[in-house]
Amino acid sequence: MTSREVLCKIKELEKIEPNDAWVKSTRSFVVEYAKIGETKEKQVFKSYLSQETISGKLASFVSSFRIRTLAPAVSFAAIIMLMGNFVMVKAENSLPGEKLYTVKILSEKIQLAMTFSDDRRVAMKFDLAEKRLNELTSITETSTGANQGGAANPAVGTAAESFKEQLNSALAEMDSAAKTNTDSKKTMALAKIADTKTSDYAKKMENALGKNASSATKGQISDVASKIEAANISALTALAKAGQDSQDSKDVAVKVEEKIKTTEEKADLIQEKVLTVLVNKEENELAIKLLDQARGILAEAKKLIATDPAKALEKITVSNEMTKVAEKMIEAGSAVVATPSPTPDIAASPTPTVSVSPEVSPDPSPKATDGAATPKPTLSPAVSSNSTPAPSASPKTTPVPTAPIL
Amino acid sequence: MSISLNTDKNTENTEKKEIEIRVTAMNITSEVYGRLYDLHVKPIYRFVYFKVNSREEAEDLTSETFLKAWDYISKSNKANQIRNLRAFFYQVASNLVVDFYRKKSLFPVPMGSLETDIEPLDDKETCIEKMEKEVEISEVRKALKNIPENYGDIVIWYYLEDLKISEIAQIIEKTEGAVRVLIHRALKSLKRELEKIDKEKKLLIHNRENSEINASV
Repeated sequence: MTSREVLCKIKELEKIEPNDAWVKSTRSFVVEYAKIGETKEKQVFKSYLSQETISGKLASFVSSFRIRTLAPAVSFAAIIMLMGNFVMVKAENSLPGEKLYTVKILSEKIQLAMTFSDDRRVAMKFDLAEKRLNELTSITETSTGANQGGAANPAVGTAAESFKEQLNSALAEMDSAAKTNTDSKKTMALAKIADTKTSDYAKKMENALGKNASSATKGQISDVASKIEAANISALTALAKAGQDSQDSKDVAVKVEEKIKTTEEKADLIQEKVLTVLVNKEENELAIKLLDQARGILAEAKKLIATDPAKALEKITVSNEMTKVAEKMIEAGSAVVATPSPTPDIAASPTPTVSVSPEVSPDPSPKATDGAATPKPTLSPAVSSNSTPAPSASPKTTPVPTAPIL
Repeated sequence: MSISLNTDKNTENTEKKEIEIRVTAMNITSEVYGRLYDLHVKPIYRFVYFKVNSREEAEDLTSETFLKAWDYISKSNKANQIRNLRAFFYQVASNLVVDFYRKKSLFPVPMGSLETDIEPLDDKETCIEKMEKEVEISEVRKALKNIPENYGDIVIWYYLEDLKISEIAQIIEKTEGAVRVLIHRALKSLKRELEKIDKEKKLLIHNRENSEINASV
């Protein structure tokens, strides 16, 4: 055999090739692995925190232990990572009730548990709240068609609840961060995040309310909307308190002014509705009186923008509540169907404890005293007890719905 | 980080491209590493495959090679001392195979028969052609297994994968002169082995023919 023949035979070996599918999948696996290990920090903690994805965190955790027998660790990490990436993508879009939803929630929890810095935790919680809100709006959009009849979709309720919970948690985190840290810049940054986020939520909510026609669902989510508003006011208050220099105060002042404006516009809108919907003279007068009071308080708030923005925000909250009461009256008045709809709590801002002044509701019907926190579904029984065979636009006596202060 | 990718077509042998990569091991991004993977996965797989018994094992060890190489490159302080990445991958792979066998010797596993080496690439291939190819390849594989392992490595690196003498020197940590000597000896050794196999084959055929003749009598 000549050397040349030998060489030819050797070259034959070139035909041996790995399986194409394996090459591709291993490639993505290797690149993912490389992406995780891309940080140069040697410290375990730092590489920990720089990973945003669950699989990233797990894998960097595993790879940070220089285990001698790499194979089991690698395959474990491999399974987690591959599974992780595939499942995570699918789970991202799942809604409550779907199978992958629990995976999504679980991964969020893990991610949260592995985040140690305050700012990130606050930001993360607000992001999670946004996710809950997106889920809620998805559900309401799909339930629009199904529930024109008016029955409430329970899924909407639970989604709304989880959003509120998450929002509260985010606000709480922000507060505790404010307490523990001395850097006011940081506190301000967090408050700004809270403000932007809550404004976003408000817009989303508006869209959702606009799209959805079912009154029952509207009831559920308008409650969410008021919670968002309250959260936004908290954020602004925190911002007002944390602001140091004149530029900050200016920014805050601008925002507060905007808020007053929108609240006024809302009051005007409600007033229009009152005039068209509430036929009963008593109710009409009552509602208008409420709105006037609300506007008066807003005027006071205006004066305080520059000097004491926090107080101005408080006043805005009060005025919001009055407007809400008027709104409820309209809803009660325009309710034609006798089926009781769940009355949501009137969410109030957690900071100020201001009571609705007695002059506001001078009417003989029973009303709860300040401080009573139990929500009474006063609307529905009133409607059903007063309903005549012929559907009337406004029942004779409408008790003023209580405004529980939370 | 500097990367220059020169692709020269090696017109002499096959259409195999000769690729030279000058990459400083520091600052390799995951993207670049992906391309490195693309360039080296097949040769490394082949190299490992000749040393182990099954495709699965070859796949596992190959992927492990790339992961381990990455670990070293991205984390170790000595990463910038790597002169040649291609050689480096072979080093890692080689060490992993050694470890693999060391572990295996603790739990001896009966050696299975050699699997089909070739994936059905071409539909046009007839069964016979495929078998012929397989036979040839299995002959070479057998020969490779029968010569000393380091000779086999050298043959593969130098003649199959077209590594440079300097690269081989890096892998086995010897001088270039020593490498040249090894190449010469390795080829000779393989040649002898292949001749031996050839002879055996011819003897086998001859015997069979004889027995057929005897049987028909």
